[in-house]
Amino acid sequence: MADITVAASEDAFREFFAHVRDEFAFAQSDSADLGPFVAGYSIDIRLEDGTVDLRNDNTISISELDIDPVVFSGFIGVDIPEICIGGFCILPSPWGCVIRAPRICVFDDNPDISLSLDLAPFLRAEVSFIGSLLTRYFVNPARPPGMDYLTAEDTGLENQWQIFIDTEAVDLDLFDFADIAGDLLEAALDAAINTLLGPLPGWAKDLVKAIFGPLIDLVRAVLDLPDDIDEWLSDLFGVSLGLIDLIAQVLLDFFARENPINVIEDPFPILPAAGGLIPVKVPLTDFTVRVTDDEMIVEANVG
Amino acid sequence: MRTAVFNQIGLDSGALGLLGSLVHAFADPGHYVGTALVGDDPRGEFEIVVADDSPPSTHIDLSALGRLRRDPCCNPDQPAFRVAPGGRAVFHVGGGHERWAVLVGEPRSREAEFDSRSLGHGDLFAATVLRPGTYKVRNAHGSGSTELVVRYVRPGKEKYTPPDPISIGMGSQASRKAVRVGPAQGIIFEATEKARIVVALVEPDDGPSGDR
Repeated sequence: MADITVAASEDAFREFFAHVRDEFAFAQSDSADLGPFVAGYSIDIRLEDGTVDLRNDNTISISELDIDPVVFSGFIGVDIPEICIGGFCILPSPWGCVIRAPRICVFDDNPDISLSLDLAPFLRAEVSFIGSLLTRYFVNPARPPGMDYLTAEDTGLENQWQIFIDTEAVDLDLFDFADIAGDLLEAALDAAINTLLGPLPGWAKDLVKAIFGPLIDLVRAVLDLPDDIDEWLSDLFGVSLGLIDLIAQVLLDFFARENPINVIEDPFPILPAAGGLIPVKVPLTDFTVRVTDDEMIVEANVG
Repeated sequence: MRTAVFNQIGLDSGALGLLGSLVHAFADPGHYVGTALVGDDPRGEFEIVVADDSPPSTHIDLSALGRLRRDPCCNPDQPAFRVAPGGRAVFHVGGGHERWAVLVGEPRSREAEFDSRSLGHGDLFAATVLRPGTYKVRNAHGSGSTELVVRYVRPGKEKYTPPDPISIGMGSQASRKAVRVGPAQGIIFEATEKARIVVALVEPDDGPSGDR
């Protein structure tokens, strides 16, 4: 039997979790060339809510943990295929064309159309994971050699036993966009095409549109946009740009390696300093943690 | 987007822009020197060597010659083009807003082999007209004019593809017969006599809804 046993109720554990969850912040920008177009994003996310359940198989279930995008701006750049005039045969012969007129191509920027989308209000993302609790001994690297534990406590440089949630796997149960995000993309496309052709007089716009066919259809073809644009957006940012895997990995590192759900000072104070006497502290060894379906139990020996 | 092509309304074989090109055949072997001009201002020089074992045609971008001359440090040698006897040189303008002429002759000869301001028999002027409307085509060295109508195309479900090019002979007396083409359709004028071919907009067609 352990010398020290401390238990925290499930409600207390939820408080611990909420405190760590609220510390989460992750910002990242990235872009990729996806062949016919380029796309990128800039995100800054937090975590919200989530259901915590302690289970009697010594695991913890975290579900419906919402990802709150403080910032989620998407970028899509489309290279319009060249529209060229000229190139016709000036001098034909029975063996083919001898001389062709030079070709002049109208669109030569890359990309020609840039779409910027504020997607933060439309992203719905939810994560769940199952984990077990893990303990690690933390030797404060800022503590100078030879510093005694009392001074370390006074200066906030004490060593600790730390408790982490060792996540087995993080699943993004949901990563999609509200229906209205599709409308946003369509509107951005319309606006971008009007901007692209904006400097041209009306007859030239009509000519370009006539040669291309419906320009919006052309851009949709370049992007390979299906009818369900929301699903396309989800696939683009979540899979093609790797946000689902990235967020899962970041959360795994956050809970399992970087942010303990609770810490216990070592040596552990039994009695505070009083009456001119120094505090009574005991070193902890054999520090373990486990859960039942209604509490977290920490056990340790005095070593 | 290169909007310059939509701003060049009207063409002139003697003042070549982005939408026109000239073709001249060099019948005899020899060594020629050429000058690219904007107005009367020489902007670039080049050589044309007409000799066996040369390609049947060569493309010469007059605006590029002008850029070479402005940067003599890095292009000390005069550019030289080669074409086979009987082969053709295609003069065109690859960029910019300026209108170019070209003069080619044998060194120390006072007679030009080719002057774009005065085309000779067999020279070709390939033109592309984009702006819908009615144009007057005339030979500045001749008389009369021909009406050219470039129809308006509206964007529709079907893509518009310019029809095949048409050929028009250009002598000293212009044909009275009107010509109808689509925008961006090639028009190949063949000089049958001394000619400077001018295509000038007379009445624009801004389509069913007018200019927007």
